[in-house]
Order: sequence, then structure tokens, then C-alpha cells
Amino acid sequence: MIRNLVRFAGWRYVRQKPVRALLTVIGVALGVALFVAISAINDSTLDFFRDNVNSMSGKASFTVLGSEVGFAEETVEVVRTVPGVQSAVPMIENRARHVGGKTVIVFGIDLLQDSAVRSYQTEGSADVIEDPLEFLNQEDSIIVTKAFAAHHGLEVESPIDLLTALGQKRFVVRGLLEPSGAAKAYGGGIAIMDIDGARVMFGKEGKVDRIDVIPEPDVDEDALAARIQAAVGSGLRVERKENQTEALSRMVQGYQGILAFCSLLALLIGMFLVANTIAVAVADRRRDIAVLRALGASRGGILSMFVIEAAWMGLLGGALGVLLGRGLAELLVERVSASMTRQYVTPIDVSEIHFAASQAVTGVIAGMVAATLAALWPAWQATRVQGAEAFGAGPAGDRPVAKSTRRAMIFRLAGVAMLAALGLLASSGASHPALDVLKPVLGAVGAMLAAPMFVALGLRGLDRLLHPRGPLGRLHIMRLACQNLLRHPSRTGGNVLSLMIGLMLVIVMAVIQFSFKTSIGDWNSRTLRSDLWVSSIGRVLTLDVQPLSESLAADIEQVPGVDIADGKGARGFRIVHHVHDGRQIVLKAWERQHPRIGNAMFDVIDRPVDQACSQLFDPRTQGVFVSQNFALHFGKQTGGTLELETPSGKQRFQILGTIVDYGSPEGTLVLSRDLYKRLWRDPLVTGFSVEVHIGFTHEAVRDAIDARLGQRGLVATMNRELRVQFGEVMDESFGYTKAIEIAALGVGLLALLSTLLMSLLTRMRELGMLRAIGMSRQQLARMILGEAILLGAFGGGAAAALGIYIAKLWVVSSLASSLGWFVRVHIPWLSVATTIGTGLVVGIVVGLLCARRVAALEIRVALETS
Amino acid sequence: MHLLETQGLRKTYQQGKHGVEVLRGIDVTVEKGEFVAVVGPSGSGKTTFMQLVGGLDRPTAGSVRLSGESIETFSDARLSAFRRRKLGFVFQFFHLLPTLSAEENVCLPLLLDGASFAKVAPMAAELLERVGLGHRKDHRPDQLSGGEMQRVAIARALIANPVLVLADEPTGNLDTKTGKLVLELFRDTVKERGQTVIMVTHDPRAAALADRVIALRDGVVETDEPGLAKS
Repeated sequence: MIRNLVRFAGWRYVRQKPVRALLTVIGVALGVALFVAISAINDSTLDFFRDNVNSMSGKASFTVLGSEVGFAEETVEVVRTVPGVQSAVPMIENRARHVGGKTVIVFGIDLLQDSAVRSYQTEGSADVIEDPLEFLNQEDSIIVTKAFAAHHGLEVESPIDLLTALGQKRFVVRGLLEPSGAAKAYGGGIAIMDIDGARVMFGKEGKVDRIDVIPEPDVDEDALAARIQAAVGSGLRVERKENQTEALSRMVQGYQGILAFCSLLALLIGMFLVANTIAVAVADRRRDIAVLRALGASRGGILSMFVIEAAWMGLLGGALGVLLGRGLAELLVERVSASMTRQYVTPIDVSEIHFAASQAVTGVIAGMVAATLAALWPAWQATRVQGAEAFGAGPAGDRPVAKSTRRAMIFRLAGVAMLAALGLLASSGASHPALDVLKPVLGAVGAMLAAPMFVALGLRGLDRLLHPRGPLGRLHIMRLACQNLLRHPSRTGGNVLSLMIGLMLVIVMAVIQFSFKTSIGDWNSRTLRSDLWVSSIGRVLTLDVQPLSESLAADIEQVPGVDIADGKGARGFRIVHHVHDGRQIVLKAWERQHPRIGNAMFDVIDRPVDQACSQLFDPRTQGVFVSQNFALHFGKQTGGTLELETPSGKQRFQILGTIVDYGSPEGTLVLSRDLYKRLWRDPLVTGFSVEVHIGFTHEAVRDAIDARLGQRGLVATMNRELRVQFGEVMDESFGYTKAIEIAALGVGLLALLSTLLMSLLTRMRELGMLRAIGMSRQQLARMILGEAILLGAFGGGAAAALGIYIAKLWVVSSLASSLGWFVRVHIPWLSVATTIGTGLVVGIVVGLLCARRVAALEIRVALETS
Repeated sequence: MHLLETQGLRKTYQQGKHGVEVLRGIDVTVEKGEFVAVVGPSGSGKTTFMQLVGGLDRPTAGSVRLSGESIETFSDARLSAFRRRKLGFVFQFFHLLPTLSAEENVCLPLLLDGASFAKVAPMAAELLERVGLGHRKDHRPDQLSGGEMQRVAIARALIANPVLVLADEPTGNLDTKTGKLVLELFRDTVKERGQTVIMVTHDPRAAALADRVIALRDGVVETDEPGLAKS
């Protein structure tokens, strides 16, 4: 029976309404596309980490790792002498900027030993690697990958300028690497040079960045790892490949979670669309269903007919969504990786999407399951149609105003309770991974359940104003529109909801973005006070610069207009990553600033800044400032102490103050550069802060520095320019969200169109009656447009209210615990207004489409509609 | 001049590739103040006749002159305004707006015409009083019985003081006793206001209250005789 019902009733109807079916398939496809794209990007990011670790580690079983500044090269010998170690191969790993091109990761390798761990296949000049001595004899030798060479128009013997710690240096390409082995790391953006040359060029004399260890055959690897760990001390980490991948994956978990949540919301909107379409079909085919029931179709048969119809649309939408998702992933991947790179200040260059067959299958199944689930409720409603309805049209237009049923009330109150619970959870400051998952779920589900109630309240208020005796009593058409919406609060709530979810997503993202931008912008204004910042070419804000030798300070001080105070004109600062308790934090080492700047650049929040700074720069005190997120993640506070592993061994630091800092999601430590240099044995600087002497303009001194040091790869940036750079960085960080917003809005528009059409279909006779008693086409169109505008306005309004509420809670609590950012809430009122305006525009577009259709209504046909 | 005059009124509906001729040349005149019943079996064309006369549909051929105006030539906007000002409709299923009170439902045609509620409300109150629902003017349709709803619909049809009231099976959805009471009220009200009514029905008892009974069969006038009320 079910097969025949689907074949003779369901399928025929779908064929009659191809546009409606197509819109639904597109809606599901958009939801699935976003779901698949985000899932593919997230998986590809993890693949990127895995491939990188595998390419870098080669045949090694373990890798000894330290902090970004490297560790003593003597450690190599220490590791080699551990019983069970067959070979231990050192490497220097440095991110260098190619002048006029992309960043390249330069591996400084020991040519005589590295082949024990990693393989390199060269093209053209194979003898370079095979004859290391020849390579070593030429100090400017470098080998790049074929991909990098192709991208930058390089070939063997081409010169290539890289920024080094000593400024800009020219190298010569001696060979091209095939994309295999270590050359696959970082998407092929690597170059190889001799380890000793690399040490000199990148200021890492006497250091290594990693040691890859190959154990002797049949050695107990766990025991060996423990022995190596004991030998190198607790300041270094002995990690297996999988641990390295896991650590990187953990780092981006929170970020990926938010992306996944956004994609699930889009899928949810797609489900709304399916539910609406099936509801429209049920309303449209009510008489047919009654006839089928009268002819003996069972309730189960009717239910199956609609569910199978939805499942088919889900299947098609899912398949289309997988194709779209793949394209969307390709489109978004670069922006998402750029955003993660900024967020975690770690090179994440996912240039390739690994799209597995399992992802395609998951996407199609997600579409089918979502559509089937969404169809259940309207399909069940269809089973309630009685066969008796086939015998007559029955009264229409006199259906009572739908009362809030007990069930609907329970749902709505549950929604309010969820939102209240979310508020309580957020204000309590409770933090737990399970709560971090629970909070957005509470917010989204609560908003969905409670929305019809808020909308009904709003409409009732409006209805009072529009009452014939009210202040807007002459707007009769608008009142009719308002009352039509009030008549079915659940349906109206559903209509609003479909639009609201899309707009809410946009508002949540806008609030989060704006809060970030404003908080960090304000913080930058408070802390980045120097007139000029000198660094290697690149973006100092994102640490996308080559660390420099501190000796360059003397060259800068020679430039006329550089203000010398306390014997200094250029004050070096160093910003590096450091692993503390398995988490990657940031260390910021500052020199005492120019008197004009003073201590104001340190945003200490829990004690007088001068007092805290005098201790920080006191050579007798071994102390640090901790950022708010560091204090949260590691349970520390001002007045306490902190133990850090340094290249000089484990050291205890006093916590001298808590500061606002956005250097790292895990936490930032600030210390004096003298202390840092001594304990980390790192004389490099990330850049210099420079003050301009009175009587000189910032532009003039900047130009003078550029003229004198530009050829050496240095660049001076004015404070004003730094702020522009900041804006660019923020835009890049959130660039990917635009596509998500557009997809969500698209699905919302389709959903509203579908739901409004449904509401019109169910009251055709009433519309016919209005026309009969004299309502003109124009008035009818205005009424429908009015309904759509009200839906759009309420969708936008509810999205604004709930979006701001949820975003606020997220910013205050979840962002701190899941992403590690303490951000103050700033509401982008212009964006909120734009979003509400977008809701209105969507409403108007949908209203015009529906109004056009309804205006063409034949009165006679409408009056005869069942 | 006749209040209503149809000449050669024809209507053909397209069903697939075939045309179905529902009206095949109707020539009828109705004078002011007449209460006319149009009767006939299913498919005789009586509802189509009423829809053409009421400007709800356009004839395939022929003309409908109402108050001296050929309404089949009107634009849609003019026809809508004409229906608001000159015509009243009473439907079998009442077709009241469920969200509006009885009073607001009665006012609706004039409100759509741009009148203010303050100006229209006293007229609606008077009409509701006349149909015996003065005390229920603030009730919504779901708070009224079937007979009461039809009385509200009658008041709505009369609010604009139309030249012609068209009623489509006004008692078709009421029980016999209520139907009789409502119909008598309807007839008495229009009579005392001097209004003209064309009522489509297949209920002989309803037709018995008319001044004149026009019987249609297969799209043509079969008989046109004085009703029992007249005789």
C-alpha cells in the first residue's frame, strides 16, 4: 500500500509542484553544504597536523621538542648516549619571510645525518643532497620545493631573498624537492639549508629546535622515551607522533567546536524548511488525504507517504549539499586556516581539502535523516485528517482563534526556563567542558522554544495599537495582517523562527566579532603607545615577522629623529611561544619603556601599575605578569608563584600582577627582557619600539628608518598604521564567517517563503471572501505584504534580542573557557540594525512574491477551495 | 431602468482540453426591492450566475448591467470598489473573519473602503441590534452559534446599504429551525430597508419566502415565476 501511495499520490504531487520541491531540496542542500564544508575543513585541519607531524618526523619514533627559541645543541649528544637510541638527528625550524612572497619554513638540517630520519627527493640537481660537501661549500645554498619554486617563478640557480635575523639575505636555489617526504610538510612551503648556516642566519647559534630519535630495533619504546625524558630534563618534551598531532588538535578544538555548532544551526534551518514544505503539502492536499483515507488508506500509509517524500528530498538535498559543500570548503579553507593561524599564532596552512567518501556519505545521510525527522510532525498531522472531510468543503473562515494548547505552553515555558538556566549558568561563572557544550545548546533550543511566545506578545501589543479604537486604528489592512498572524501563534512562531535562526546566527557572530574587535582595539590603544614599531618586513601584530638580532638597535638609533632617552632609542621586545603544562602560551619580554610611555602600556588590573612595574623591572626580582586567561587556565593569581621550564632549567617566578592581554587564547606571561634573555638564552628580538624626538614628524622618522634599513629587510610602522593593520587582521580572522552568514540567511529566506505560502494556502477561501466583499487586489497584496513585513520585523527583532542575549553569554563565559579570550561585550548596534533591516528586506521580498501570487487569485476558485 | 439586467449571459469553463458551458445565455431583469430566489439542481449554473452578477467572475459572453452600469467592463480595482459600495454578500459558510469581533466583521466592507471605525461603528451597532445581536457585538465568531454567525454575515452584507444583496445558500449550513428564523429575519430586514436580494438556494422552503423564483436548468432559465410570498 505504501509503495502505491508514494507512487500514485506522493510522487505525482511532487511532479506537479516542482518549484516547491526544488526550493526545499536547495534549502536542505545549503544546510548540508555548510555542515559538510565545516566538517571537511575541520578534518582536513587535523589531517594537516597529522601529515605535518609525519612528514617532519619521518622514520623517527620520538621527537624531543622545546620552546620556540630552541634549546642547547649539546642536548643532541645527551640523547645519543641514552641506551637504546640508534640515531638522534637535530634540526632548526624557522619561519622566514620570502621578500615579495609567502612565508616559508626553513629547515636547517644536518646533511650528513638527516637522511637517517627523513627522505628528500630532488629534481635537476640530485647530487646536491647526495654530495653534501658541495652543498656545504656554498654558504648561500638553499633547496626549495617544486611547488614553492613554481609559485614564485624560481628555478635552479635562481636567487631568493629571505629575511633573517641579520636582515635581508640573498640565497641561491641549488635544487628542487619533489613533493614527498619532508617536502610535504606545511603544504610544501618549506626550504632546506645546512643547519650551521641556518643557526647563523636565524640567530640560533648553539641551539636546535628539535631532535628526531630512531630507536634501536626491538627496544621497548615506552621505556626508551622515559629514559630520554630523564636525560634531557623536564624543560623539554619527548613526544610520539600521535601525541604531537593530539596536542595540535586539542589546541584548535574550541574553535572547531564553534564552527561545527554554526553548521549544525544551518542544518536545523534546513530541517525547518522541510517541515514547512511537508506542512504545506499536507495543507494543500487535505482533501486528497481525506479521499485516500475514505478509500481505505491507513494512518501509517499516509504517514509513510509524507515521510518518504521528505526522505527523498533529503536524499537529493544531501547529495547536492555534498557537492556544494565540497566547493564551499575549497572556498573557505584558506580563510579558516588564516583565521586559526591568527588565533593561535601557529602556521596552519590547510591548502588541500581531503574529502573522504565517508564525508560524502555522512552528508547525504545527514540530509536524509534531518529531512525525515523534520517531516514527522507534519506527516503525523496528516494522519489526523478524517475521511469524512472528503464529503464536503466544510465551514472555513470561522475556525476559532487557536488557543495556546497546554503542550505548546509547556514548550514555551521550557524555552524560557532554558534561557533563564543559561543566564544563571553564565553568571555563576561555572566552567566545565560539558557545560561549554550545554550552554550553546540551551541558548539555541531555548530561543527556538520561547520565540513563539515572545512573538505572540509583541503581536498582541501591536494589535492593541492597531485596534479600530487604538492610536493606529485607521490602518485596517495592517490590523488584518497582524490578526492573521495572531490567529495561529504556533505557525507564526514557526515562520518567525525559520528566519530568526538565520538572523540570530548573524547577530551572534556580529556581536562576537565586534566585541573582539573593540576589546582588542581598546587594549591596543591602551598598550601600543610607541610612535614607531620597527621589525622585519611582515606583520608584527600577528608575529608574522622574522626575529631580529638585538644589535640592529644601534643602527636604528643612528637615524635622525629617533629620541634617545635613558641611553636608548630603540627598545627591543621579544614575543615567543612557550609550552607550559602541555598548553601553548605566549611570553612577552619588554624593556623598560621610554619615559614618555612609562608603564602605561601594561594593562595591570589588580594593583597599581607603577608599583607592579617597578618590581617587574627590578633585576633582583624574578617575576612575571599573568594574563587573565592564564590565571583562569592555570589557577594562578597575583601574589602567588609560578614554575616555568626554561632553557636554564626549572625556574620559580613571583606573580606580580594580572593584566589584560590578547596575545594567546591559552595565556600570556610578561616579563622583563633582561630576565628573559638570561633564562631563555635568547638575544633575538621580535621588533623595536621607537619614540620620535620632538620637532620631527612620525612620517619623517619612519621614512628615514625605511631609507636607511629598508634594504636590510626592516620596516618602520607608525602607530596609526598599526591600527589599520589591526583592522585588517580582524577582518581576515573573521572573513570566513561571511559565507556562513549568507548560507544561513539564504536558508532562512527559503524557509520564510515556504511557511508564508503555507499559511496562505490554508486560508484561500477566506482570502476569496475578502475579495468578494470588496477588498481590492492591491489591498489584498498589501495585507500579505504586511504579514511578511511583520514576520520579517519580528524575525529580525527576536533574532536581535535573543542573538544579543546568547552572544553576550557566550562572550562572557564560553569564549573565556572554550577559546580562552576574556572579551568585554560590545554591541554593534549598526550591525544589529542592519540585520533587523535584512529581516525586513527578506520579509518584503517574500511578501512581494506571495502577494503577487495571491493578487492573481480568482475569487470563484478561492471560494471553492477546501 | 431595471436594477439588474443580464443579456445573453454565457460562461464556459475550460477543463483540460474541453470547455464546459455552464451558462448558455441568461436574460434576466430584476427590479429594485425584489427578493428573487434562484433555484435549480446541482450543475444548473445558479452559483455561476450569482458570481457573474456579483462581479466575482467575468462572463464569457453577454453583459451584466447593474444600476445602469455594465460591470463586466470594469477594471478589477473598480469592480472591487463596486462590490464594497454597491453589493452585499451572504455565504453558506458565513465566512466571518475569526479574529475580528462581530461588530468589526460587520464594519469590514466600509473599513476597506477607507471609512473610519468611529463613523461606521454606530451603523454596525444598529444593524446588529436589528438582527438581534446588539448584546453580542464584541463576541468573536468562535463565541457565536451558527445562526448568530449568519446573522452577523447578514448585517455585514447590509452595512454599505448595497443596491443588491447576493446570498448563496444562506441556510445551507444551519438546521431547519434556525435556518427558517434566520431567513425570515433576512427577508424582513431587507424588505424594510427596501433592498434587492438575489438568493441562490435549492431549499424549496427558502424559495417559498421569495417574491419571485427563477429556475435554472442546464445553464438556461427554465421558469421565471412569482414566488409564494408574492402570490
